[in-house]
Formats: sequence, C-alpha cells, structure tokens
Amino acid sequence: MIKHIWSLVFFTVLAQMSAGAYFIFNADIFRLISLEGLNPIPISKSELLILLVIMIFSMAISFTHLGKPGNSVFALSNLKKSWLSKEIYFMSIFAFVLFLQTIFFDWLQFHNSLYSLLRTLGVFFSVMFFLSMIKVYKLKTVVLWKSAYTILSFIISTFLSGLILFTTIRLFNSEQNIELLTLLILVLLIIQSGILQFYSKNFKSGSLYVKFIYLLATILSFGLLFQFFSSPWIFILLAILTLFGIILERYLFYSSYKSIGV
Amino acid sequence: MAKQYSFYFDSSACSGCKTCQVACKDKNDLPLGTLWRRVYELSGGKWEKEKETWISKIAAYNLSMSCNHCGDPICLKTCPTSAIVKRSDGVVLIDSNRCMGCRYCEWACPYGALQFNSIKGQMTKCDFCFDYIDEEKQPSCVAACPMRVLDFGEIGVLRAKYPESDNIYPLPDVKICDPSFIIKPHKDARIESYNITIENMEEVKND
Repeated sequence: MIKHIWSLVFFTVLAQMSAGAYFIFNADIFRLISLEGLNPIPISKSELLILLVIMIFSMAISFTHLGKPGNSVFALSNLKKSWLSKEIYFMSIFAFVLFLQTIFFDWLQFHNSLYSLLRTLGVFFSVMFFLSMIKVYKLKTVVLWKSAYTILSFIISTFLSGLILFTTIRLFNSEQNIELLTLLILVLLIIQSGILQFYSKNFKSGSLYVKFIYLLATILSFGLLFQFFSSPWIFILLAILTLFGIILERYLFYSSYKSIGV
Repeated sequence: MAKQYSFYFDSSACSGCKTCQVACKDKNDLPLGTLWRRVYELSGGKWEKEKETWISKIAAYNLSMSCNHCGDPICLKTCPTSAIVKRSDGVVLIDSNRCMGCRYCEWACPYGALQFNSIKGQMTKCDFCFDYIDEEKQPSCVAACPMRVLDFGEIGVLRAKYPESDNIYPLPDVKICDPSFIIKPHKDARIESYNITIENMEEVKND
C-alpha cells in the first residue's frame, strides 16, 4: 500500500472537482452541443472564485505529499517523458487561466474576444489536466492501474464531482434546471457504481462501503427526480454522500497499489 | 556500444545469509527500513501424490536484488524533476539537489529499487558504490558475499563469463526496463506453476 495517501486523495478529488465544474460551466464555448437546458446562465465572478479557491486549496494539499517541497521548482523539468511533469504543467496553466478569468472578470466583460479566448484555454487545459492525471496512473508495472478502471473511474468521477459542485452552487438559482442536473448525476452515479462493481475484486474490503454510499446517493437522486423529496437540503445531503463516496473510492484505488515483480 | 555496468547473481548458490544486504546498509549508513540491496526468500509448491508415492514439488531459493541500473530506466522516465540520471558507464543515480520526494519512481519501479528516506524526505537507491568503482574497487555487496555469488562488471564481459543466465520468477519481463543484471537461475526459479511467494515480506516491504 502507498503511504501518505490522504493528501493525494484530497488533491486529486478536489482538483478534479474544480476542473470538472469549470468544464461544465464553460463547455458551451465549443458550441458542439446546446447546453441551454444545462447551463442557461453565464458563469459569475463569485462562481469562478469558488472554483479558484478549491483549485488553490487542492494544489496546497499536493505539497504536503512531497518529502522535499522546496525542490518542486524542478517539477517541469521532464515534460518530454514524465506524465507527472505534464500533469503539473497543465494543472498550473489551468489554475493560472482560472485566476486571470476571476481577477479580471469585470474588465473582461467588455472584451468579449479575450474572454472567449480565456474560456477556451481554460476548458482545453482543464481537459488536458485530468487526462494527464489519468496517464500518471497508467503505469505498466501496476496491473490494476494499467486497466480500463483508471480511465473510466477518473473521467466519470471528474464529471460527477464537477456536476455536484456546479449544481450545489446553482441550487438556489431559479433559472437553473436542477432536475436535469439531478438526472445527469443519477446517470453518472449508476455508471460509477457499475465500474466499481466490475473491478471490485481488485480492492480489499472497503468497496462494499463505497457501493453502499453510492446506493444511498442513487436513492436520494431518484427521490429528488421523482419529487418524493423536494427540500434542497436533500440535494446537499446527496452532494455530501457522493463526494464522500468518491473520496473513499479514491482511497481504495491508492490502497490497491501492487506492482509486478518484487 | 555504450558501457553498462551490471551485477551478476548466482541464485543457485545463494544461501540467503544477507551479508550483502548488511554490507550495503553499513557502507551507506542507511536508516532503519531502507534497504538498497534486498534478499528475498522465495518458496512455494506442495507435495503431490502419484499412486502410493508422495512427490515433492517444493521450490525454495533466494534472490538478492538491488537497483538494476536499467538500460531503459522507467524511474528516469517518470521522474518529473529529472533528478534521476544515467551516467556514461550505465550507473543510474539520484540527484538529491533535484529530488522532491514525490515517490512516483517508487510506484513505477518493478524491482523495489527506489527507497524513500524519511529523514531526508527524498528517494534513495543503490548507486553501484560508484565511489568504489571509480577507484577500481568492488561494490561493498560484491566484496562482502561469503558465497561469492555476486559479481560485477561491464555487461558484455559478464555475459561472456556467465553464459547460463535467465530472467527468473517473479521478476517482470525484461522488455519493460531492460535491466542490467545477469542471473544464474536456481533450478526451481523458472517454475511459475509452483505458486511461489515471497516469504520474508516483513523484511523487504515497509508497509
């Protein structure tokens, strides 16, 4: 088992949540799909600030994993071969773009082309960040991590955690279609549970707890969707449960580390 | 062809005394729990009944493993700070002025070579006693071995000197990292069907 994994767990989950939510807030920039029903309101400065704070917090946590953080200034030295170096690079640029978009938000409203450019860059680097995070764990010497579980789980958890954050932020906004978002959360919860079930034999005991948490969250989302519950605090409970499930599943992922060889 | 220093290990004659492990620890003043050279006791198999006779299909052998100073080191490729470098003589070293202790190389290495030093907060590993070999002396593990099962030298010379070499179970496919080692296998060391396990896990893994 890897030691000192909690800092990695919180860093990866929080960073994915920020990147995933950013993608959802800004994906309409590519105009590939109409997101009017999903995200009818442009992102606000306070919403950007929330994403920025979460991102900065996750980056600060990542330093606690290092044995000698002072040498992290060299972390971009091996961009050619090291996916960890690339992950740090894309994460840094994404955080910087997010920072610029937040700090100069008011000024950017009068400079639409520059604002669109920043949003495009932000979406691009958020995607590159979580894709490079997946590649970091696709080590040929670690059997479970080399499997499709890593790709599927990381992608779904990015969008699930991002959607949870996005919906929580917009929960009390009457213009936002919360039912549609809850439906998407339900679908992603079912997919994530299915992925975990398929690969659960690779995890030690503990996957049962995660499955139970996802089951509870699924029941709550069903209830919200079909209006058995109407209180927004039930959604808050759903959000907390889902996030807790993702964190626990990530802990199991790191705990399942087993290298080939000796 | 570039020079490549390599270790030779004769698994068929190793007694598992761990003198090499202790010599390395002593020379490098390693802290508790850090082993640049590790001796694994591997055993497995069972007794099988054939008609009225019980046949022993037991396997037991030792494996002394340090860093293999690979031809294509996976640790070097994964290190984000480029702290891991390969010398012109093939020895792979860690630059402590650059290592940030992220432990990513530790995950990647299939030989358990990279060891985290919790006092320094950095990764450490076998350095082939490069200070000794630069003075044309033997690495401390090679000099200490009472059974003379360890040797070192340029890989081409070693391959000619010890033609009976093979990769042994449970070491991974050599294509992954192109490790620079020559191993004379124990007669049981190829037998994967014996379900061989590492018996002294508490000695070699710091969980």
